Amino acid sequence: MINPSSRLRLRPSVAMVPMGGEQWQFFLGNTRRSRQYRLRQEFALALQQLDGQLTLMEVSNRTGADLEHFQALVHALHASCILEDDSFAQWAAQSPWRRVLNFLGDYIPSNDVQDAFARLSDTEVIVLGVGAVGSWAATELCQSGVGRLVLVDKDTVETSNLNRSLYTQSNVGQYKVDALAQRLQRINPQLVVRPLRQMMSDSDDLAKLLQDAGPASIVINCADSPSVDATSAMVDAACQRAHTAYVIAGGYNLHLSLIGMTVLPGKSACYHCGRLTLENLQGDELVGLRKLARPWRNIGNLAPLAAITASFAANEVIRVALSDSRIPPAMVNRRGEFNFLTSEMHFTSLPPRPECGCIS
Amino acid sequence: MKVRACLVPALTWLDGENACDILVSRMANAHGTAAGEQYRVLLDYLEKKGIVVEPDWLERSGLDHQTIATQQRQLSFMLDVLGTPERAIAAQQRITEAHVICFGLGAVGGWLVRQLLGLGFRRFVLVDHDIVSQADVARHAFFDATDAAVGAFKTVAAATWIREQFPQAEVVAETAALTTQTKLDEIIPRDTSIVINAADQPYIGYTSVLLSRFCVQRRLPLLVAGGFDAHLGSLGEMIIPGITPCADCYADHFSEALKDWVPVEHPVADRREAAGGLCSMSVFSAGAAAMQVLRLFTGEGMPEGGRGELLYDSYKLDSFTVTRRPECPVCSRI
Repeated sequence: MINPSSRLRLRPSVAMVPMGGEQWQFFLGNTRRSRQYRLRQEFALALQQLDGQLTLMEVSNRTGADLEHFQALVHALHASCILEDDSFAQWAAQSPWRRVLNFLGDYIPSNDVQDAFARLSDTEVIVLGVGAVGSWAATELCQSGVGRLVLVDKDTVETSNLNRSLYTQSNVGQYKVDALAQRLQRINPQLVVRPLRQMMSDSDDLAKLLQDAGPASIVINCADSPSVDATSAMVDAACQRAHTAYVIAGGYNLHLSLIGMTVLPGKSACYHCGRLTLENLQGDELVGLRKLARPWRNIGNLAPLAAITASFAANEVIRVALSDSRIPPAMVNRRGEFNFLTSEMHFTSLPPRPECGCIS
Repeated sequence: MKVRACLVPALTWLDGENACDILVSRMANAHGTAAGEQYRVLLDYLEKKGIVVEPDWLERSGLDHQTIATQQRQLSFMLDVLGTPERAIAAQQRITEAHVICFGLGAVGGWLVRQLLGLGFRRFVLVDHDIVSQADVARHAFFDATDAAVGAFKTVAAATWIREQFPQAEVVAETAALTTQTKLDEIIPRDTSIVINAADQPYIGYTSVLLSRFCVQRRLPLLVAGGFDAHLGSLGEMIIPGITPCADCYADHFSEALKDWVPVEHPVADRREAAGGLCSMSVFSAGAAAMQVLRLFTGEGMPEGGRGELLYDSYKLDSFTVTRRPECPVCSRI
């Protein structure tokens, strides 16, 4: 609660800019959001004194800003992530997770950040497939404060994996899940990580895993064998039953990095809704087209493609885990493509399909 | 293209096992001599277009065993994008031999170097003055809890890790700050192929101008990485002296564009500990930067002036153009 003895400060990433007259702009550098206020001189001066050391009462006395109005103004600016409570700032500065906490402070008012971060640490993320994209995504989640990871993959590390995954020469021959779990444990010794050396090809097996995982769990599908479509359909079947959110990590197609959907069962379009829309979109082009059977196909791939696909998937998992309407998942009901050669982003809308029946 | 119907299914014969002569006679036996000859012409055409390739093109590439073993998927990618085995192999060779110097081993610099190692770059000079802190472990490529506990220099910790995990790599650790006092001609090797600026202390514009003035003189490409505290979603820019704007052009552009936008002095004096960041954002910026480096080494796409910005809210990618300043005192004469 904000009261006369509260100590707040202008958030370090916010610029306060005079725009002429009594107009002031507050510009949040990271989110590129800005707010304009008309402020009487004493209130503008009072805000410039908010360094976290002085109480609102002291600032009010110094500048002649009416305390009651000042408190209301401070309340509004705190809710817009322009001001932060000094006790939050002090706590964050001491935390090994201060980068993440300050990032969250761009979206979530400082008084709520601690709870939001706790939700992130309590979330269990089940990573299906820890090849190229999965190894990057799991690492990014570990470094963002996700506290519990289950890694699922049956493969061992091969030399030809090293160009794009986070495995190295010394891991060749090890199970991917074991090599990754060891590395993540060294990054964050508090991480609870469970490596499962198996292939998850049956939705019943996954449903069983979800039952044990508890309510705060999220599945991220980074498995592409036999195909991303096949694994996504399997994930969808299990997650719809368990009401577990899932993120499709996507993949890559030549110079395009695909950014997959985020699915909140019962609330958003699911994998099948997306498939139906994509089939409609491609319909005309593909009529009469026959795919050549090419069993020896070895599709090209490299580190930045895998890393970028994984970074969006990790973003989405974090946003779902936070479950805060001020920073909701951004890939609900759509998928995207990042073009590496032009650095352009393109999105395709994939709305819920009534005929799919996934939303009752 | 339009071809005889009998030639289409014969494309599935191209499994790398049988020589073209054998396949051509198989076609001739089935559909006549003329069809056989047409099949040969078709295969010639497809090879010229980079659509079919000899199965042992990698073994005959002259690339060393280690590169072929680790980079086969990347070489497939380059074959797709560049069109011919010759161009793909030449690009990989340039990468193997390149000498890269990276200023700044923060989150973006570290993840960028990690991705360059994946792309097959081997020779690095890493420049940074800082030590690994506990908070760094939450978003860096090379450091773990132990490095933070002993307070290792970032350069030394990164170089040690790279030498252990990438035995082919040659890494020089330069523990030094980047200031006007830095003797760039001593730190930047003569045979440098690209300079990377991922150093944002005191801020990225300052360090970029220092490096850019040196690079323009030496005609060296300079990649200014993005993703810094001023805006996590910014994408960097490639500076090619004489072709793109230099860092002074960028600085002038922004000081003009923002001349009426002057924030008041911030009430919080020391804002260093308050920077936010998410590992996934750093990895994204590093990935976009790594692709710019790859484009330079493959010769695909001409670098242009400008900058992109990823808005985290919606993943919208904004971009804007910056042009060379005709009156730029640093780069206008070349």
